Amino acid sequence: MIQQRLMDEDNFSNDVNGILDQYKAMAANACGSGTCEFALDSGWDPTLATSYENPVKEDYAGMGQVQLNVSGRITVTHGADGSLSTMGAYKMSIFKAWNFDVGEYPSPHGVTIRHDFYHLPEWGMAQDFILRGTSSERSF
Amino acid sequence: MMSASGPTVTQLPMLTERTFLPANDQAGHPEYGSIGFWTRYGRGSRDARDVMEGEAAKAQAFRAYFCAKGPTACAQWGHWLDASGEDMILDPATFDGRGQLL
Repeated sequence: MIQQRLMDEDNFSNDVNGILDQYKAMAANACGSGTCEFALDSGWDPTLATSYENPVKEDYAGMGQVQLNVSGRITVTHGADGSLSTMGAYKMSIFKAWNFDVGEYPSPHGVTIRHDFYHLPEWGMAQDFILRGTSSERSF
Repeated sequence: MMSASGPTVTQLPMLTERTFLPANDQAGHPEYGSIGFWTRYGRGSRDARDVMEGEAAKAQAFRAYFCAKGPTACAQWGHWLDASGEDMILDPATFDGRGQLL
């Protein structure tokens, strides 16, 4: 499962969990009493599908950096005993423009790999495309 | 948003101002006769064809290399080299189930 594999990756899961932690804190601060409901949409920021330090080679080659969006909802409840609980659900979306920008070369581990692949679409030998997707809903 | 019986739902702010990302240089039109192409490789059709064939051979070699790494990388390279330029979409089913990416 791509989703589970991404979440097994420290970079990706840390970014997702970091986003959720920020929203949980925001929601808790914004809820003065009782039960409050919030919607969240993080916008898009880059993350890595795999780490540079210990890459899953397939994901490193097939995805590398992707743009990440997290959206969902949070319910904050103040208990009668003064406790505070947060629960909710979210979806992750990824976006990647799969192309080779003219003059931009990959530099894994500081080693620049020069190539002319970015000419292939110009020559009709390849077609750049967008990779995008949304996960199923996950609860917390 | 408010339902008839439910509480008010408050929209929390985005963490970034980027609402979506442009496909900045997504290609899609074969341009064998482009000015840029012939400026760079304008020493005659034979040279140009040699360059193109060489790059295509390298691309296929890279494809084989990445296909050996696994299905995700293989699918990406295959899509780039073979497809029509249409988006590769991982809907919830395909996002969750890698087999359907292939």
